[in-house]
Amino acid sequence: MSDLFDIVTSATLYAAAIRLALPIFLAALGETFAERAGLVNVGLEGMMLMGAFGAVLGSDVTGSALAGVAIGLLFAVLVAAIQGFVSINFGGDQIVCGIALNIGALGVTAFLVRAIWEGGNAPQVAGFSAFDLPLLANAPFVGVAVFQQGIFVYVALVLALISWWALMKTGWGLRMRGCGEDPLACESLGIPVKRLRWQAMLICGACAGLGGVFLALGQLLTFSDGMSGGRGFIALAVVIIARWSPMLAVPSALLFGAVEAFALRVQSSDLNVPPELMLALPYLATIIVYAIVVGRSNPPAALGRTYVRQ
Amino acid sequence: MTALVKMSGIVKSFGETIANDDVSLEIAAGEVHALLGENGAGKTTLMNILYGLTIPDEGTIEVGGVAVAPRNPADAIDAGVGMVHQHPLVVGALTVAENFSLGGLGDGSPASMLEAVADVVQTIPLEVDPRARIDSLPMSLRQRVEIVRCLAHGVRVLVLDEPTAVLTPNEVQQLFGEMERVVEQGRSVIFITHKLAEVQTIAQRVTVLRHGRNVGSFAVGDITSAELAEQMVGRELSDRSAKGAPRAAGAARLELRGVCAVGDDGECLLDNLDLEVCAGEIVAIAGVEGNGQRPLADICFGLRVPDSGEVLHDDERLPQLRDWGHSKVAIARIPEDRRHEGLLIDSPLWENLRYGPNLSAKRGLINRRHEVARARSLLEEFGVVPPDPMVAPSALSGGNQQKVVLARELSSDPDLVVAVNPTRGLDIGAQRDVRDRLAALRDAGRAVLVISTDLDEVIEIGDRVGVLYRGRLETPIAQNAVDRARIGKAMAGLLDDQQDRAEA
Repeated sequence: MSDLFDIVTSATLYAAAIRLALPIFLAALGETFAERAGLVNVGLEGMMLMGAFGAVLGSDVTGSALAGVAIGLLFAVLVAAIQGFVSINFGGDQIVCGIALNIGALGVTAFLVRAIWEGGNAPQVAGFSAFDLPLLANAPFVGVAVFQQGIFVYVALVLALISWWALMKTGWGLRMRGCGEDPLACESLGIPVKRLRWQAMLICGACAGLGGVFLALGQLLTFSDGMSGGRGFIALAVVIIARWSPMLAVPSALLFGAVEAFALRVQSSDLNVPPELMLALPYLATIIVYAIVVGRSNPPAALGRTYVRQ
Repeated sequence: MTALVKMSGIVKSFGETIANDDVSLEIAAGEVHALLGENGAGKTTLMNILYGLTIPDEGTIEVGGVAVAPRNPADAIDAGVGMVHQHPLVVGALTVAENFSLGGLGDGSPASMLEAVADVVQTIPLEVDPRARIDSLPMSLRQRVEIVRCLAHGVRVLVLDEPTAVLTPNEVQQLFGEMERVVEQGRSVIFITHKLAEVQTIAQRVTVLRHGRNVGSFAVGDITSAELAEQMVGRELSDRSAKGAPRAAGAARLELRGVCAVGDDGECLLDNLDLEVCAGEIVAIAGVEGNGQRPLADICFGLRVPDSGEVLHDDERLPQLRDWGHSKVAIARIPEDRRHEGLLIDSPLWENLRYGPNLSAKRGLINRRHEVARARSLLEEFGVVPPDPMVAPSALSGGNQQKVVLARELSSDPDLVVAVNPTRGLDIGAQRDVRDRLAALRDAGRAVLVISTDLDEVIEIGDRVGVLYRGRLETPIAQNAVDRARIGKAMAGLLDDQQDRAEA
C-alpha cells in the first residue's frame, strides 16, 4: 500500500502526466475548432500519425528539428485537406471519411518507413529536449512536476489561451460557432460558411499534427508504426468532456495523462497488478468519464450534419 | 413606375422538377408586393434566387436599375436585399446580441455587440433583452429580431417568407404596422403568402404564381379575393364545406384529468389541463406554436406520460406506444411532421401503409402481393396521386403525403383520431379533402381531436373550440358561440379573466 502512496505523491508522476496529456490535448484543441464549426473529424489519429511521420522525415533529411516541425505540420494539414474536401465541398459522410483517413495513414506511414529507410526502421533524429525554467524549476514539487518540461508544454498552454480568446471573444470565433449551430442561418447572413469550415479543419489538422510532432520529436525521437496509439480517439472524448471549450480541454486531457502515467508507474513497481489491466486503464477511464459526462453535454446543433447549398 | 427590383425570365429546376419556369417580376419602390401561390408554386425558390441562396439556371436580376447576379446572400445584402425566412434563421444557441453581430454589427466583442444593439433599437424598437438566448424567445420575437436585423443593415427590399404563419392575430397586426412603416420610407416589402385575406389587407399589388409560372400581376384594388383564388389554384373553388351541423355527442372517448407536464428545465409545459373528447364530435384546440401543443399531442398519442394527472381512453388508462399490445387500441395518430414522424419517407408506399395496427403477416411472413393490392385500393380510396404502391412518399407532394398518413391511420377503423396541424403546408384543395375526411369521421361517430395553430382551421372544423396558452387550456366552448376576436386575445394571453375562465 505504501508503494501506491509513493507513486501518487511523487512529483515525477505529475511530470509524466503532463507529458502524456500533451498530445491528447493538442489533438482535442484542434477538434474543438472543427466541432465548433460543425465538423466531426474522426481522422485525428491519422493526422497525428502523419504529423509524427513528417516530423521524423523532415528532421532526418534536414538535420533540423524545426524543419521537422514544419514538415510534420504540413503532412497533417494535407490529411485535413482531404477531410475538408470530402466533408465540406462534397458533403460526404464525415465519420466514414475520418475512419478511412485513420486506416490510410496507418498503412501509408508503415509503407513509407520501409520504403525510405534501410532496414525498415526510422532512425533516431534531432528533437527537442526538456529544459529547466530558470528559478521555477527549483521550486519544491511543482518544479519537477511542471517546470522541467520541453518547449511544447508552454506552446500548448499559449495555444489554449489564444484559442479560447479567438473562439469565444472575437467576431471570427462567433461566426465560426454560428456555422456549427446553424450553417443555413449563417449563410443567409452573408457569412462564408465554407471558408470558415475550411479554416477550422486546417487548424484542426495543424493542432493534431503538432500533437504527433511532439510524440516524435519531443519524446521518442524516432517513428514507430502506429505510435499515436489511440490518442486521437481519446482526444475525441476529451472534447466532449471539456464541453467544446479550449480551456476546459486542459484539465480534461490532464485527467487522461494522469491515468496513463499512473498505469505506467504501477507496471514498473513491485505492486502485483496485472499489466494488461494497467494498459487498458486509459481507455477504461475514457469510457467511464465519457458515460458520466455525455448525457449532460450540449453539442453544437449542426455537428456532423452534411451541409451543401444548392 | 420605377422598378426597384426587376427579375426577368428566371428559370430554375431541381432535377426533374421545374420550380421557376420563365418567371418575371417587378417590384416598385415603396410598395408592399404580395407573392401569392399554393405550396410548391415556386414563391420561395424565386425569392431565394433574389437573395442569392439559390442560383438560377437562366434569367437576370436588377436591383435599383443595376444588374446583379447574387451568388450568395452576402452579394444580395450588398445590393440592398434582406430576407426573413418562414422559420426564422437565427442561431438558437446564441444570444440576441450575438445574432446581430453575426450579421456584421460590431466587431464581435461582447461589449461592442451590446453597444451595436443599443444603437439599432433607438431607431427600430425591439423590446427584448439583448442578452437573452434566441431559443428562449417565442417565434414572434425571433422573427422580429430577424426583421430588425435586416432593417439595421439598411436594406431597400425586405422579403418576408410567410411571416404570419407563426404569429397570433394581434402580432400579425403589429407586423403589418411595421411593414407600413418600412414602405413609408420608400423601401419595398415582398410578402410571400398563401392567405388571400392578408393580401387584401396589406398589399398594394400582388403577383400570383402557379406551378412555377407567373400567372399575372394585379393591383389589389382591381381584383377580388375570389378571382385571386381562381388565379392561384387554376380552377373555381367552391366555398362549400361538407361538414354538417354537429349531432349530439356521445360518450367520452378521450379524457384528460388534471394533466401536468414539466419540461427538462423544470418549466411548466402543461398546467392542470382537463379535456374531454366525445364520440361524434370534433374538438379543436387553437394556439400559437410553443404553448404546449407538442407535449399535449405527445400525451394524447401515448408518447409521453404526464407528470401528474391521468389520461383515459374509454375509461381505461391510455396505453403508451411503447407498451406491448398498444396496437390493439384503435387510435389514429396524425403527427405534425409527416416527413419525419408520419412516414418512412424513402420506403415504398405499400410498406408505409403496412406499418399500421392491422398487420397481416402469416407466421411472420409478409404476403407481398396481398399487401401491394391492399395498398393500391387504399391509395385509390383516399385519392392519392399517383396511386402507385411502389413509389416512395418523398416523390409525392405534401398533400398526397398527408393523404397517405390518413389512409394508414384510418384503415384500422379507429374510434379516436388525434391530429396535429393536419393541413399545414397543404394547398387549398388538399386542405379541403383532409378537413372533409375528418368531418366524415365525426359523422360516423368517431371522436376527433385537432390541435392546430391555424385559427381559421380550428373555427371551421371544430364543434367545440379551445385555446391553449402557456400550457393552460381555455375550456372548449361550442363553435357557434365562438367570438373570433376573443379567441385571438386568448391566443395572445390578453384575456383579463383568463384565470377565472380556466377555473370555471
